Amino acid sequence: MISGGQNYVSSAPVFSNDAKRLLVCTGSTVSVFSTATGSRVSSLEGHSGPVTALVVVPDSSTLLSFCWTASVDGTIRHWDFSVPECVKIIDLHFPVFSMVVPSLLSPREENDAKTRPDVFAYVSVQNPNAEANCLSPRCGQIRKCNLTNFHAVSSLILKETERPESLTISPSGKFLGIKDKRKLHIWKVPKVDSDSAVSKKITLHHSKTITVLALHPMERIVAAGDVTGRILIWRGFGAQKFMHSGGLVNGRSTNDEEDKPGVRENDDAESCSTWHWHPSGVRLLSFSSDGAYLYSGGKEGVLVLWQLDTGKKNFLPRIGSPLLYFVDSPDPSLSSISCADNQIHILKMPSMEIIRSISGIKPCLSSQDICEGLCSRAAFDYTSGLVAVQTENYGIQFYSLFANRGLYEVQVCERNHQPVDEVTVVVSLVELSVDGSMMGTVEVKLPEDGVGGLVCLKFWDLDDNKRFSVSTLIYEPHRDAHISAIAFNPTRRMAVSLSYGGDFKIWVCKEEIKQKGQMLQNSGWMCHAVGSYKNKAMRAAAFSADGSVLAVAADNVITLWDPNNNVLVAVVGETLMPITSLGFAGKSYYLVSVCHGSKPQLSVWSMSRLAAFWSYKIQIEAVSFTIDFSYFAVLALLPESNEYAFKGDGIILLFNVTNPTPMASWSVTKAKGGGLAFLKGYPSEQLQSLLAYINGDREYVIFHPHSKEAFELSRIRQDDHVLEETGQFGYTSIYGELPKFDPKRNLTSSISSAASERPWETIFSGSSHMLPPLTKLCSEFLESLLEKKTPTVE
Amino acid sequence: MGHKTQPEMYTDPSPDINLRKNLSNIAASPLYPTLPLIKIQLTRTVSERGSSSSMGKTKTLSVDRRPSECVSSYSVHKISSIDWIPSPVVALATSFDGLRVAAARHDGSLEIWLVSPGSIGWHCQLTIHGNPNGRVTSLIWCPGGPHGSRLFSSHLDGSVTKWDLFHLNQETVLESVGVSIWKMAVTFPKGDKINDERKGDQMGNGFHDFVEHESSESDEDSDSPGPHEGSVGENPRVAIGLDNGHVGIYDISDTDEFIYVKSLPRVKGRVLSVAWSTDANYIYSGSSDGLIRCWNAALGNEIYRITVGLGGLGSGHELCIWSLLSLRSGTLVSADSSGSVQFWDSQHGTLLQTHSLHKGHVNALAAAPSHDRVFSAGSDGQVILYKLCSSQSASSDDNKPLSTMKRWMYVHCVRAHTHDIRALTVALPISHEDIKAERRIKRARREEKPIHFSYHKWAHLGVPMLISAGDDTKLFAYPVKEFTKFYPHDICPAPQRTPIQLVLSSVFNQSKMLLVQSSQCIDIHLLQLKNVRTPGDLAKTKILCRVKSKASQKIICSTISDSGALFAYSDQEKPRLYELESGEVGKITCDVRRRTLPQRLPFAHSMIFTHDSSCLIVAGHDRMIYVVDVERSELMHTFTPRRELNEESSPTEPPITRLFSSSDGQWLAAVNCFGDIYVFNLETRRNQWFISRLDGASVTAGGFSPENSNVLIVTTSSNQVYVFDVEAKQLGEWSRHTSTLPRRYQEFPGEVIGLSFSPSPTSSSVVVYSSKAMCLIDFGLSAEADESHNLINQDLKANIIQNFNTKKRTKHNRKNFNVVPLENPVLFLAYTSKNSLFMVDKPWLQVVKSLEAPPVHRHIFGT
Repeated sequence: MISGGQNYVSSAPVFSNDAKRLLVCTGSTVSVFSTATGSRVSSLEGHSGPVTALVVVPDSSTLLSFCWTASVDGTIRHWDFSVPECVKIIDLHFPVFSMVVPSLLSPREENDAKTRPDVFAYVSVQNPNAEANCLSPRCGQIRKCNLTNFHAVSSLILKETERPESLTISPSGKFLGIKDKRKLHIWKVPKVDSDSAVSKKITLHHSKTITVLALHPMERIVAAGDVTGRILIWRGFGAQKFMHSGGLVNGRSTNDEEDKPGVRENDDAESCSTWHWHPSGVRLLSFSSDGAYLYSGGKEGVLVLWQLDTGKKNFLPRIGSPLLYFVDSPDPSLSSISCADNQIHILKMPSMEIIRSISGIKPCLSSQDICEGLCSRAAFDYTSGLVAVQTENYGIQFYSLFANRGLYEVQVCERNHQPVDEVTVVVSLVELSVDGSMMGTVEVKLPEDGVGGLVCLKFWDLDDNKRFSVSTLIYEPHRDAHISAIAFNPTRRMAVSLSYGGDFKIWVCKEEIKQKGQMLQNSGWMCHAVGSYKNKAMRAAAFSADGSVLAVAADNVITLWDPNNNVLVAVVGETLMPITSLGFAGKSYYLVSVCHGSKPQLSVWSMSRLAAFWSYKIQIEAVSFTIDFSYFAVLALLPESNEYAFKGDGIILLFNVTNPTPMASWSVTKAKGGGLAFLKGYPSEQLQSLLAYINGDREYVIFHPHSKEAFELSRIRQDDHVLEETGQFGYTSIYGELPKFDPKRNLTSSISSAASERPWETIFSGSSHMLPPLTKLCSEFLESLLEKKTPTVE
Repeated sequence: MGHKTQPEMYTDPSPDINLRKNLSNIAASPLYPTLPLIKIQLTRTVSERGSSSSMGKTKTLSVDRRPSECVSSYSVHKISSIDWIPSPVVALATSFDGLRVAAARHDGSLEIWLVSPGSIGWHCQLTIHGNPNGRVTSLIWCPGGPHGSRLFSSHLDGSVTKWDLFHLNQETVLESVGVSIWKMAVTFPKGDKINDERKGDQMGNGFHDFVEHESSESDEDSDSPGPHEGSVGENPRVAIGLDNGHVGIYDISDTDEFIYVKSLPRVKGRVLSVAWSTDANYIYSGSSDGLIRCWNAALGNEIYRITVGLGGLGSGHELCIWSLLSLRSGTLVSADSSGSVQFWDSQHGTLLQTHSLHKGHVNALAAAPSHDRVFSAGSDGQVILYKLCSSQSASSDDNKPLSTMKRWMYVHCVRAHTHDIRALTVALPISHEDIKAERRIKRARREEKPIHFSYHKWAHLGVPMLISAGDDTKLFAYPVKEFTKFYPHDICPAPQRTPIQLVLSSVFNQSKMLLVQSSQCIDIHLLQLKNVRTPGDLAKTKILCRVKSKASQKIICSTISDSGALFAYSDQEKPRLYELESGEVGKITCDVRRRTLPQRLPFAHSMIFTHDSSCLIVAGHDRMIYVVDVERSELMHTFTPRRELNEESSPTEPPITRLFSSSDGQWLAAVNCFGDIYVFNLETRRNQWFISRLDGASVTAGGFSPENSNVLIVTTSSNQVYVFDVEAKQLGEWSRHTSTLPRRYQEFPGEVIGLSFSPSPTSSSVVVYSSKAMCLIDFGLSAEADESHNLINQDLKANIIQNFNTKKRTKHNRKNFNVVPLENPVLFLAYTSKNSLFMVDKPWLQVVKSLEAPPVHRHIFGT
């Protein structure tokens, strides 16, 4: 079983100490990526719940590669991620939502190395008891726990919040803070930490809800972003509360309360200034490691670099997706930003250019509700194991299911995408042919105030680089009616497009028509035939396996056509509701139809008898057919009442068309919006095809449908060429590779140069800088003049 | 000398019988029902010159809170078509005590703004109409002089003038040499605390020699005020930045002469800004070639120069250093045309920090009194606050000493102005004093004021305020310490308001007339108010005539007689009298006839006709009051305002700026700009009474009650209302029974600019208005103060009774002192009949459109 499609951006990634690895929380595992290639190297598996926090143990030698992880399953684990293996497990019994370990960050004194103090972590946990206490539902708690010598979570609760808030720690490890609605709480970490050591807290107030905060690496400066896009910078926080303890009284008199411009409510800070550039809420804030700059980002997808002293700005625009996290690496030339579209971009630092992207599968469109009914599901490539999903920026991402990484993207319409803009264009349909060589897309320009709507049908062909490029663009193929489905003929370059307006068009590729002559360079698709049946809206179509029969669902009847001659062959039965999906079950003479609505139905029709064979009343989300066998699989949504019986909310059923009893069934979660596809198995394995299930969050699994237990598919069949780590480090990254020093070269060259009888004819030919040194030439020249003594045989 | 006159007012406990009787009659009159509610109807009046859009809308401005009870409605006629073009502010300066702010406008006039004690509102104490052609480039206050401080201005034509705030005139003290002066800077006052850390470390001998040399000249100045110890007798020294690249250094003698000391070597370009170091050893000059030079003030040699634009912000030769500011810490702040504000170490001339937050020229800089905050303002209309922050590195341990570094941090910006900001200054006005018992003692024990007119005796240490002004002609005040917390206060909602006078029933067919005094002409309008009860019936103004001043002289004051037939104005030369002539019956022709006035009449600060239009009373700038018989054109009498009633001497009092006469022609009240009131009896031609300034506040408006000529009502800049009985020479009964005015009146928005009596003989109500609000005061009813203020200053027993009574009265007296906010800046407001008001206002947006300077372009995000 292969699983993949995890969310890479659920929490912030972390760089390893040598900045060669990037650790990313991917669901219940931690994936280790190589920053040089962007490919997955290994993964840390063991947590049973989503991993929420990652702390790499910093080390000056950069050799050690230990990290701590915390998870919702209530455990904190210690890993050696170079091996990778779990070293230690601490069970807190509380779901952990955030964890910081301050003592790792503060520099340890050398002489204290022997009596190493216990390592304490501050965790933001969910208090399960709070559910019962309905009056004050403050279930988030900030607590401490001893990682070195764990007995139980400290009973000391630093703060209770309504929901678990994420902890922010200053890079020096001296302060940690959380946001709590319109307040910031900042603690000073005690020097000698223990379970009971009370850390001092200050609170800073603001008038808007704070979304994110960041602490300065050196100075007592805290930056916070709010929902309106303002960035507030408090300087010199805690001058009274934190500094007085050390016997050092700040020179400023404490009662000089007015002398704090911008600071609200007598907060303990020297000044508070405001910057406002972001039009909507700030999502990421991070100080640069030297503390001179501040990075900020938000929904508009622009990384803003602020010079802290002057407030000057620099931008990295056109990222194209809301930004979530910015992470600095120990290598000053690398950092990463995480975007909401499941991409992690690795930036080359001073210039802020994206040098590499770790691209996960793109999430479902956030604007799904706007274009309800216009978005189709992901399309699968049967042969190469790709899935094509629509992206926010009007493109299609091709994601390799076996390699679990994004391969490439094609832009369906050439438009700039700004996440803050209103949605005006939607890619509503993507369909791939069985062999994966053709693709059809439909894009809809949404009408503004009822005018200006446009439907475009595009056919794409694979080019030489194995990427799709547009071959034909058809504006309004069915006048202004929306296209409901596209189906490709499995044997020929033929496709059919259906419209809600009641007609279908058969398209053929021109190239095929003029097959007799020489191959045309400019191949294009043209309309071959138009058909309609009683002007009924058509929603689903399917070609038979040999491509000779086209089945088109016209409202609630199935019409069979000869696609070549455009002749109506037969009309099959009637369902209660309009048919939304059709398919021939492999090479058999059985047709499967799916209806939605109040009376959902899954029906199998026998083509030989032109009658219904069997049917279920079941809500079908997706259906997929094998190419060669008469199997098909359906993803059924379970009714609400049945949910307790199964773990998930959906069920995958595998049928043989001839038998209404399912051959196998699997219970799945998040089935709404999910997809199902048979993928071609590899010849090295069994001939049977694999079944891929992708859920509503675009996480997927691939498994053998026929094996009794879902056995492990080996992951080595990543036939895609794995990028080698070609990154250059240290000296070579600056000056490039040194020429290989070959001690034998001088030897050989001297041997070769002695060969010629008349060296002066060739010895000076060539450009001057290529010539051997004069000393060498001289000796050779003289040597050539000498009369050689023939070796005597002894 | 005032010890005798003053106590009279309060020591005589016997109430004035007339006034009491009169007021009690009014209060008891059944004709005058209590009006708990006011409903005001606004009728927009269309003038012929006004825009056609202002059709006669009838808006109901309802201020009632209890609609079920009886509603007395006032209809308000509105005119918005009067021209009103205020002039931009070009320079600001704060006096040394921090109490007064001088603002020079583009048209050559100067205003002194201050906060009256006990109030929070700013008040324009006096206006001096200066030379309209001499454009002021900078203003400075100098210590010394007969009144403790002197105000000088430099002009673009190269002259330096002194503004005499006592005589309200302008004198040239330094003749022009034909080179423009861009900036003038005076040495820091010695009373200030100066960090003399640097003194003598570099300069050494030269300076000390210089001091000795100078002290011989200034020995006679030993009586000059000032608590300074070491350098008593040193004249304030002025550095003048000239257009030709020179910096001239002058001493200001006590006789206000500018004594040339030396001139610094000429440099290329123009010297646009100069600043003294706090110890007066160095002069910093910024020029139009982008250089800041540091000069030894004593020797006149250049110590170093700073190339400001070297950091890549604008190339050097076109960078203008508009402003320099030297701080006590030794930091020099520069503001330049590239929009950056830079902080320099003035000892070495090295750059400390740059902030380039302005999107345009930075015109002005100001520092908080503590010198740890700096404000900058520029042509983008923003005021930006920088604060000196000590940043301690948190990485150091608590036990180790912290490495403290001080840096100037941007904190906040405020954009209140719609146009370029030209000037900034920080003032320490008198803070708002809560109405406490302490304050009442002050009022009761008020003694004679010293002749110099500062309010610093009443001011305890105030809140520093930043004042900004610029091309949009307004002044805004910002709290220096809580700059980020509060929106700036518009201290001047109606700058350079056009004076307007209304004649209710003229001899011409009883029609209403309006006199509008523009800066260079007088317009007489015929006001046609139709019956506003029938909506749609429009009222109009029709211009009758326009009299332009001679040679475009600025008009200082004007007046029109109650008959409407005579009007007079005064420019800076002499007063002039005109007569309007009625041609046909029922129609007024626009014939204007010049009438002669007696020779030798000086130009006037205020003029008024007596009610029977027989006499014109002129308050001349020579501080005398002349009574002129209009018919015979001869001088009838000359009054000299005096404090002592029976003392004959030359005038010693400040000039009179306001005149009020009673309707029976018996009394004349003259008010100077500092709030002293002189009452004269016109019949006996004697000085009747002298009322020293009330609470130290200026008189903002006043008048004699039409039905009882002995009653004088004045409002002061501290938002108080006083009723005097001039015949009995004492406070009127209403004022004596009214301990404190309601809080809502004391917090009346804006300064009271006028009052109008109800023409109804039975009504004792007065409408008082500022440019933002109006308020009806019924003197037949007692002022009901807020509960919190009733418990003041009475002994306990009386207090209880008083309190009880007041509470009882409160129930039906809600309406008195009802403040009605008004939408647009009001220029004029008056009763036209018992139930109707006439108002002249103008939306500020229309005023802004008429300004010459274009507004700041503001980029709106996303466009």
